[in-house]
Amino acid sequence: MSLTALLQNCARSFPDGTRALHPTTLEFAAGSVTALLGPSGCGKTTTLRLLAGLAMPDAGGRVLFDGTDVTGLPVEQRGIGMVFQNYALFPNRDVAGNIGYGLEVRGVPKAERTARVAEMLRLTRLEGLGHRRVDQLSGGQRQRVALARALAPAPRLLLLDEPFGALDARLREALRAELAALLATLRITTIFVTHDQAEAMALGDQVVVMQSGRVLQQGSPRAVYQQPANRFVGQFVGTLNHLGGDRFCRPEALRPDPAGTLGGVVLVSFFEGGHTRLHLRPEVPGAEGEWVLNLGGTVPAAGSRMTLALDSAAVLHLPA
Amino acid sequence: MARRSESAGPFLLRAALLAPALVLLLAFFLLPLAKLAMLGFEGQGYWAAITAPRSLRALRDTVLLSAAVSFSAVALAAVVGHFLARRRFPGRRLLVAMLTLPMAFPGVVVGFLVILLAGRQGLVGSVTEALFGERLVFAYSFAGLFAGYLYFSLPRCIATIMAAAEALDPALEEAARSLGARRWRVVRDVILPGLAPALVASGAICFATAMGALGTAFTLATDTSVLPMLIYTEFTLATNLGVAASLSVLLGATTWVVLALARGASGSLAANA
Repeated sequence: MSLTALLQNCARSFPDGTRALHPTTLEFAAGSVTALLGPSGCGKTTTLRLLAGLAMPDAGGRVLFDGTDVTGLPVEQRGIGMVFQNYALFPNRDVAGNIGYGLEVRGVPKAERTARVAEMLRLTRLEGLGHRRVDQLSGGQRQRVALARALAPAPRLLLLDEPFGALDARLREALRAELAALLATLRITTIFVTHDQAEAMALGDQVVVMQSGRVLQQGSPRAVYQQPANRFVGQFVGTLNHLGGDRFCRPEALRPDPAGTLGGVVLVSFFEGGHTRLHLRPEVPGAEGEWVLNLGGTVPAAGSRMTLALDSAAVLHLPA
Repeated sequence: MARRSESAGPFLLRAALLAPALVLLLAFFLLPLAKLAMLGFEGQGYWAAITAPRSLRALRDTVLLSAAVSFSAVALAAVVGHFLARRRFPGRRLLVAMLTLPMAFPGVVVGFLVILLAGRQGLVGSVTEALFGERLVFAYSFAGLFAGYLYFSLPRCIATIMAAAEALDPALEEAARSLGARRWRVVRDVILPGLAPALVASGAICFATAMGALGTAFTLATDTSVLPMLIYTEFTLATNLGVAASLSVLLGATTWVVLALARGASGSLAANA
């Protein structure tokens, strides 16, 4: 059902010679869900387009699906499913027409197509909307139509470009859970691009952190969070508190403790419901910037001094 | 309801604001048209002028020529416009600028260009004589008219369609391809429906312009007669105002009906798609 995708030594240059992607080798295991995470311009979308066949790697790069070289195959012959950033739904077709397009192109008979479209509508909870025009749908519904359309021809590789990019925050979280459940049932190899670390951590079995056309780290969300490869990864995936020199820690490694050895002055606090986010000015020689820490219950007022203890096992040594 | 009474209030103000437009409409559009329509009853009257074999033949030729030119111009412009909108290559801006050049030429100049190309001393003639020993001359026939009309129609069509193609989301084409659509499916299912409004609009303008074109026909047509030329002849040479007016009304009405039919057809096409 699903396949193993491999990018082998793939680079991608602009005509002027600048690199969108430096030579990169990445493996995406069959059935896994991988997040390509990074700021804009980091090469994540380029990586996705290389996998899709919408872009060709520079000479020397190869794209392999289950060991078969597909580098020369254009997107229409790769048998992938793709969800585009703004969904790219066909405005001249209704919901069912959009979902059934991939089957229509493949010459699937009408009866079979109708059945499959109905199945996809059910799977993405769009029952009863088959004859809606796509411009009459909400953002969340459009996203589900795009997903259903990509999945209808039963692709062995699913690629999603910022699948939640066009949605508001509340909807994002709801749809994220929905997509996670759907991917878990389908067990289809999935690769998605995002600049949102929470999304990457929540959905991906694996996270690939990228910056300026290079892969900085590849691993499980837990590993990337707990052992970031460098300062950039640490800062991009979560928050880092600087302890001086190359020593850093995560917010949860600090806790209020009268017997503690570290001190800081509360600058500002943000009540976030379940917890309060505090920003402190560290009173530790060499510590730069602000510390962030999340506390439950009542918190000290701005301006007050706090004594903190540090879980020394959680100290991260990160080179610049 | 509140909104309604508000809008009814400043009725005088609205009337005053609309008045200049109404006066213009009346003075430059409705009155001359009415006068033209009235003129048609003079002399032999409408029926005779319109049913004369000469008028009918000219009408048929004009409609066929204009339709052929519109279809060809739109088809060519769709290919060229989409290409120019999507591809970036050296000299592209210059090419686009040059494509709009023929828009400035009067019909007479276009006719002159066609004569230079396919007239008795024309380029095509010289080449065919050298190759086959016979001069190919088509400037003075319908082929020549077709070439001339196409020449001045293309730039307008390309400009309109290029703008529409630039507004098409390239992700739609990529989406269709990712679902397995080959080149022609993408053209049929994504590009043509996306360009349809621009194709119909530019086709309609093209048709109306071709129906009324005089200069090119005047320069070229020795074997042929199109309706605007007939009107010109009746008006200036024969000073037969009644016939000229009835033919004018015929020309206007025919163009209007054909365009209305085309809009209706494209509307139902879009609804079915």
